[in-house]
Amino acid sequence: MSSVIAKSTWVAVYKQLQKEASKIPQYNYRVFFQRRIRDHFERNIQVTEVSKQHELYKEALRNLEVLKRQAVFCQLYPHKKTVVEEKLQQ
Amino acid sequence: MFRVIASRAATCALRTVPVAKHFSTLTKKQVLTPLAVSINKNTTQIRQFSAKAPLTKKTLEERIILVLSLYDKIDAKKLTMDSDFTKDLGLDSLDHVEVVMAIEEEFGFEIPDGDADRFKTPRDIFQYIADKEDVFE
Repeated sequence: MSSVIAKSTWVAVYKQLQKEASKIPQYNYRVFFQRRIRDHFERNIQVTEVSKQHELYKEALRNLEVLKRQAVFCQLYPHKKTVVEEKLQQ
Repeated sequence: MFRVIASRAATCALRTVPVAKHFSTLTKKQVLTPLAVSINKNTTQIRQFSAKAPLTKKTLEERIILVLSLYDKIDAKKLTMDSDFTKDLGLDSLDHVEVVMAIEEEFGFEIPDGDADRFKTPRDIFQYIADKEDVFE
């Protein structure tokens, strides 16, 4: 518990978070989550303290669980595509 | 109630197939009058996938360029097959992850993180997919 978390670990967590966010069918939630994940990572990109990094990593994993559950819930509710999405599909 | 979950390239179709119902001869005593049963109601659902579109080197290149040019942070004018992601196009590691995810979605297969780290230019992605999908001509 005394080493800095490797970049590859951060990249893997980021990818998992973005993957779960992209499963949400509603445009507004999906884009919000994608943008906020990006914001959180960019804000903490220069943190070098070991303890703070570990704390952030635990928070990332917790948020990943939350996102996974939320994605399932969002898929359960009826979803109507936005006008722009429908036009793109045609 | 079966729920169809939309897959990435939407190449999956759910089709109902009628299953032949075996009629046994019933004695007069056992004859039941079904209310509204028809033979076609007895169906099973089969998921069918279509094959991926055939890939040539030219279409592969075009598709990669298309996916990358749709990404907002990449300047389409500076984009070529040999432009470096970090040096020429100015992407950071998070952008790199998003680009790899877009490529995965376009071509429909997972790229492990170790391999994704080695992509420095679109040409690397092209080589990787050509190796994986056996694109020769």
